[in-house]
Amino acid sequence: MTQTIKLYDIYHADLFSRAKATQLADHISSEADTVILNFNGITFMSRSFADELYNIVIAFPNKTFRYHGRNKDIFTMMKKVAEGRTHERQLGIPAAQMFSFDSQNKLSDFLVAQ
Amino acid sequence: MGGSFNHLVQVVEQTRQTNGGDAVVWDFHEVTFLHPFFLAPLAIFRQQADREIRCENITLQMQSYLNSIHFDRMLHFENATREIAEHVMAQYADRNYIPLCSFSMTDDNKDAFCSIARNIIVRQTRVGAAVTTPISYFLSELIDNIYEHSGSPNGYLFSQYLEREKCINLCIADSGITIPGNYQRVGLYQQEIDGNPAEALRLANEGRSTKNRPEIENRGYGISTSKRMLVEGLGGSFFMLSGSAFHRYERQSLNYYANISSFFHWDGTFILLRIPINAPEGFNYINYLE
Repeated sequence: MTQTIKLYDIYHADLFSRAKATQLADHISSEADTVILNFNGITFMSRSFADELYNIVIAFPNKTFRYHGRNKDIFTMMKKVAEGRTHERQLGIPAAQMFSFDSQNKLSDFLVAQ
Repeated sequence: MGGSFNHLVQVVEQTRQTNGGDAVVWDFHEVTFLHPFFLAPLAIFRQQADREIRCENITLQMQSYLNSIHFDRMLHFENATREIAEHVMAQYADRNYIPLCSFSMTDDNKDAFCSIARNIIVRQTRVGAAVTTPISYFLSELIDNIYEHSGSPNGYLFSQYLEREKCINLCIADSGITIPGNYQRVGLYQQEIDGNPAEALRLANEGRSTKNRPEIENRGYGISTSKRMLVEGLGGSFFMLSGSAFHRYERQSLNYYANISSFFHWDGTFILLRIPINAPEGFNYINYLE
């Protein structure tokens, strides 16, 4: 059996939070062997949502997931998350200084000087 | 950002040093301008204060502004239906601000509020798609962090569009357990933090999540990616205060963490974003995704 889930009907146009993504599992039929996630009308997907969606997909190893109607940004976001799961994370963090202030006056002098 | 924070620390500390139980007066004599990055945390502090704080000697013009941004009494969204929240917020679509708002941290409420706030900001500023998506990204990731990590019952948001400067000043805040408090609660990274809350902020900003899956570092991308997208990509500015430490990132040469635990503590976290409404040529938010 193939099940189609129209994401817009559940979430409107924005796929924002991790918690909301988790709820998607409740919509997946136990009888479905193929689940089509229809993204028509969805304009934005957060990284958190995409990451949780990835968790849902791997939680159903016996089902095939297909994705219809993804825009370019959503396609890329899901691709980035999938890559993050198979490659070690490379932190591209710019070097930052560490300061410690023991009085309000010293902090104030520092902030004013900048 | 630094100047606003400097003033905030002074006002908050002086207010706290007033003898317990006494009402405090904030005297606005000769005040002609209040920066959004000063006002928003000040309003949150006042709302949470354990004593009465009266504002006096405010000019009519200033009072009118404070009234319009709901400085005295924030707009609160407590599980309102999406339609009602949209209706309330629609009146701000042709203004240049979203007033001080608090919103309950339930699944439906926070996502609906996030979406509505984004739509209002986009309508006010008429930003193109190149900046609309980053705004969605900042709002969704930072509000989701409040929900996932802070334990705060409410989130706070204030936004002001500065037309002449062509930027949006956005404040997102909570009254939760703070970032250092969260690491302490779960008992992670305590050796690295070693009692220094600024180290905790550094870890959070570098993406060290307290909720990774056992087999992979899959979380903690929200803040680090938002920051790079904002500062390196759009040329904006980022500021974060959480507990007794703060972080400022405006450009490569202005990027630091500071421990101020000797004299200051903030009950929660607030994040200030200065978002240019015009993206530099060639900017694509996808390039900043990890």
